Amino acid sequence: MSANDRAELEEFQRGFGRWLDEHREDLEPLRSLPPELDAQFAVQRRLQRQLYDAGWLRRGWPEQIGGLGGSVVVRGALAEGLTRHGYTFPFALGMIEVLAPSVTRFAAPELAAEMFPRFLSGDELWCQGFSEPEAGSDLGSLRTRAVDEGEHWRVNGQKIWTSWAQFAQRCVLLVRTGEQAEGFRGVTALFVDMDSPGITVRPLRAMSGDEEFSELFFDDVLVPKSRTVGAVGAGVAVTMAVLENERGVLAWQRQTWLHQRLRALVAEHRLEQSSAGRIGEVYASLYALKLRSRDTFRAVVAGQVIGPRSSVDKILLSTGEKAVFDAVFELLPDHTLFDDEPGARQWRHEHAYSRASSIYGGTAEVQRNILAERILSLPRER
Amino acid sequence: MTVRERAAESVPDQAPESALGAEDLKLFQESMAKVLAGAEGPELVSALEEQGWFELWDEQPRAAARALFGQQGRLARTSPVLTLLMGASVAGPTGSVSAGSVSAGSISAGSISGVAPVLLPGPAAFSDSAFSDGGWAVAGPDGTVRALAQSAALDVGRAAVLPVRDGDGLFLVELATETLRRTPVEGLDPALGLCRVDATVRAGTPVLVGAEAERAWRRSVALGRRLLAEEMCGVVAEQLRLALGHAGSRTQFGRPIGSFQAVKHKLAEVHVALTVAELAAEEAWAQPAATSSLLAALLGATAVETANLHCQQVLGGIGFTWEHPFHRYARRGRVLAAVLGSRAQLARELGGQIVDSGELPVLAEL
Repeated sequence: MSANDRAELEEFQRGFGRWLDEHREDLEPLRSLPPELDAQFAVQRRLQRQLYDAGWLRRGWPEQIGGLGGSVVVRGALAEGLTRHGYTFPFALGMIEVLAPSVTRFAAPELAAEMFPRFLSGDELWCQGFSEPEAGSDLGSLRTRAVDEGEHWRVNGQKIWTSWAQFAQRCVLLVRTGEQAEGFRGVTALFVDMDSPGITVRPLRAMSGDEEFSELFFDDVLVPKSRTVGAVGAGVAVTMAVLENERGVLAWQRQTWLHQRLRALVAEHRLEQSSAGRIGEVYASLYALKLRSRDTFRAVVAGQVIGPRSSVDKILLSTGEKAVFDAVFELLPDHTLFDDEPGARQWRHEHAYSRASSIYGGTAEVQRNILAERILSLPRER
Repeated sequence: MTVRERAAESVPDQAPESALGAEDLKLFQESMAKVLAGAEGPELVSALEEQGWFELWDEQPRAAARALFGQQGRLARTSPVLTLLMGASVAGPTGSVSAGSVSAGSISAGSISGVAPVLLPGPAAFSDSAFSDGGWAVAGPDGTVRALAQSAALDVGRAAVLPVRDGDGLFLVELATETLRRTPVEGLDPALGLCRVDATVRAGTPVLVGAEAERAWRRSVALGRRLLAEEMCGVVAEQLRLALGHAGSRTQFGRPIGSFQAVKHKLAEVHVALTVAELAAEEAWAQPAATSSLLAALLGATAVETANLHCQQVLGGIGFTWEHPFHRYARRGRVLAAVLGSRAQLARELGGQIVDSGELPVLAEL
């Protein structure tokens, strides 16, 4: 890390830590989440808004899009500060890290400048319309079609697994603008208003019990041409940027949260010495994740392109996440299987959610193929 | 001591150093490969002295360790440097032994020849949770004890240091080499040049006692784990290289076996495990504390396990022959991954501290 980044990081950590201490009472209701999803979003939006108004959330984002400028490193430090002070981490901040860097990089500057502050402040939520019933890991075969009608695109088709779509005002949508046979070369990214006529959102209940994701239906939805993100046919670049973002700042956020949960396990429950080996292994897997994620995060801070090596990060994220919650189930069977108090419900919820960590954002199998072919140079299958 | 304190307990006389340039590291590695190929035993130690390796070690321990131990791993060669440096770390050169001179393997006299290497209590000693970090030999009622040694290290030093529990006391005892009864060991990896040592503890001189002995031995073990971590990374890198070469050239069903997903995924797993082990080794040199060193050894041992499993399978029949070099690396990795605590022992040691304290070590900060 450069000396400037280092100095900015330390200044941010001090200032943010002091602010959190000073606003402790004010923020107290935001320390634990209510059980219902709607209420959770409401609580988290309040926290997000306070962070935005106080300026902490705007730091590390370019001034052209409403940020306060400065090093990206403070965006990772924000997540750390929150979790260390015992706050839950707003879902929206994760979505911001996944979507905003790609949209602001590829969309028209006016569009980014207009839309991004609403997302960052919590006035709006964006969602990600990528997967389809027939296009999961094989994203390049997607069929949602956008027809060029001069001033606008006419969109028809269906998306699935779109997280928090029922709460979202905008969607980063992948559509086919070229021929089916072109694969990913015929795909374009659009920035779509969720209240456009012709969009239907049908929430799906996940195994966690939450309506975490949704199906989206597009019937003759008109999207202005000005909402094209990147060049026509360049959807693959936007997609890759989004997936890589998931392994940069977001991964650093995620590992701080996983450490916090492991800390909760060992601090709040009297574990037997017989669980020492398991706890040591789990800690080691989070340590591995943290080391790798720090490396990648530092590269992001330095403005480097991450590329296929980030598949290592993605694999470590899912193994680390599963390791934590599998250990909780194994070490606290009575609590996790038979208690109905909020703490037990949270473990069950997180355990269920952790199952998806080797599926979303590119399955663990796809990540291993990428490493084998693009890092280890093994021959392609076809 | 709490987990936090333990994590923060850095080794004072090994300050973090700046990263060595890739070019320089490559040059060091090449010269180490030549030295390792050309000599062994005490001659190898002299050759390392001539090459200025011990001076480099004093100035840039991480670069020195990488160059020597990484190459030992890659070439399946060995040197007595592990137990010599561990000995220098607990006691300093013979004759200047005092609590004040305890350093992290610094060879301040400029020569390794006066250093008393450590005797290793062996893997079983690390299962003993009665002592903070385990790893103590236990003397019998008559004061006799059995340990492991690198034979060549005993040929270099006039004495050796043993961490031992005798009765209720913990001691670092210096034993004159001529009083040691040595039996060469073939074991799983004959090329390692180990021997079993039978000694009478009470014939030696206690150099450190009690809490001081504990602290010094913990530092020495941490140093040993960092060195072993580098060597394990070298072993795994070579196993992966062998398996990748085979997967790319061996054809079955009309295509290279490396094009099959089942094979790809195994080798991708090894790549992930090796990447993590290398990062952990690097971090342990940057922050040379007991916990970061333990984690470097733990993740190194995990990589060894992963590589032994998957690289062997990918190498198929040829990897099962004596002629193919794979078995030398499989043997080497397995022994290195046990000497100062196995994966399971290290996980228990670390997890035990976490469970006791209810706190997590805070490591690898931004």
